[in-house]
Amino acid sequence: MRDILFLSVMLTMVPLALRFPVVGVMGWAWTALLSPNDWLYSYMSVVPFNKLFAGATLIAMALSARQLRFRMSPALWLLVCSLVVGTISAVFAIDQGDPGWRLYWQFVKIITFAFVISAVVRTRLDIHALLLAVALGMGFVGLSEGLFYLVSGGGHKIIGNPSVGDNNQLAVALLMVLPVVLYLARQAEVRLVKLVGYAAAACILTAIIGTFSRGGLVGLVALAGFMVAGSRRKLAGFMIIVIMGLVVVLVAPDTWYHRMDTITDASQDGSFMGRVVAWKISTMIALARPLFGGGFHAVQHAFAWDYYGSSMAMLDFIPTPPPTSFPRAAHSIYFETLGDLGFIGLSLFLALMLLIYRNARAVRRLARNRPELSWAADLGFTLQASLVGYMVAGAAVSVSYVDFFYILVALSVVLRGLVVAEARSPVPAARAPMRAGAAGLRPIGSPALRWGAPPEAR
Amino acid sequence: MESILLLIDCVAIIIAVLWFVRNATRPPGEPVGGLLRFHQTPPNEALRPSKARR
Repeated sequence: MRDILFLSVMLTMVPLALRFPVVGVMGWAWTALLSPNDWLYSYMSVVPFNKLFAGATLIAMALSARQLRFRMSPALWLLVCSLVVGTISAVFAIDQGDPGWRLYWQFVKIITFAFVISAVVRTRLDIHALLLAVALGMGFVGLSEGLFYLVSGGGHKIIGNPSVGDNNQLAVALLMVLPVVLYLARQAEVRLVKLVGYAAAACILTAIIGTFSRGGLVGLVALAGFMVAGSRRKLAGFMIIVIMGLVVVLVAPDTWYHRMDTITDASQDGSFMGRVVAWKISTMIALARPLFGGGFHAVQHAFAWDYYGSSMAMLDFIPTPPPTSFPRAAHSIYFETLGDLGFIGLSLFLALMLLIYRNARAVRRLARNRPELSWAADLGFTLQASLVGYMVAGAAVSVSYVDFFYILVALSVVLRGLVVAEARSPVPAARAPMRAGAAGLRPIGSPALRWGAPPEAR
Repeated sequence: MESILLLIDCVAIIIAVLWFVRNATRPPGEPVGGLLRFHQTPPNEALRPSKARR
């Protein structure tokens, strides 16, 4: 049944992707975030959905190469540099086995996707379609987990998702998608779609809490604080958060409280101290290989764990127990990147975060006092909120190489380019008389006032 | 229940794709329409008289 369902989806979307590259981008994002293979059990479970959409999109791009307008930006140059650093790091990696190379090729795919987005996605309609695919991919995972958690009265254990990782990694991914779902709900004009969007957001919120992830909870608090601080209705936002907090306090099971209580006495918590050990070993790898690090997931390699773990005494100013006999994940996007790609890789990663924030801030500034661009200001805020969730919750989780972060990079580039072009467009007719006299008046619907239409006639 | 949710998600992505294609091929100047249409504010809305002024 499920296989027939996905076969139908592929038969509908792939031919359309060959004609419309944005449909390919939608399919690429949807399958990357949903990972359909993990939901299927029969003949379709071996179909490389993501590669099919990637191939169809690239063919469509080649067929419509003349229509593509690709312009490099600082963020895209950083992506190129990241790819170069990642390649050198992979070639000289401590671990030359399959896992490192598999992660490298995933990294290449993710960065390629970011470039494809920045080349193909041009208009508000394109951006909205991509965000819908993101919401139907990762948002669906959150929606289903949240619903199961609610229906089971808290009995459903959210262990994570094969495409994302364990419960902590899922919590980070859901924190990133939550602002996107809220944006889509706010922007939807049809009331039913709006309601579905808000209901999905509530389920995703439930799923974040249901992951029992302490990093997820800290990220959620940071995200809520950021969204309220940036909201025009701060008091209403604050009241909503207080009410939601009360609901959690009243409904959450005792096991959840026991888990969250360990945040306050982290030094006594074995799980947290194990993470600090992994951070120390990642730092030692970076100090030994400062330029390009130890390669993808170097810290998880048994040799690197033992070798650099034995020399971490120089970091003893932070007391930790000795390393475990088996390697662990880096448990932080910052230390993961530091150990894997060295100080250069970490600098590029941090610069990408800064550029997402700056692009979004520039969009919000350009869109100020332009009602026709209010959606862009809202989306800029959404991108910043997703980034805040990623930066805070990711501090204790290994999720450096997730599609979503690089989708944010590409979206911030596309959005800024679009808004800059709009801001340079002729002055809207109703304002024109004040600046240029009555001769500047144009009827709505004239070329300069096609606010509903994309810049390029499609 | 999982299968039902998956069915809904698949139907939703198809609707989203068809909605996109329909709007991507609309004549220039025509506003975005359909089930998934979004709010569109004309550039001169800020200068429209408010109810209070009327």
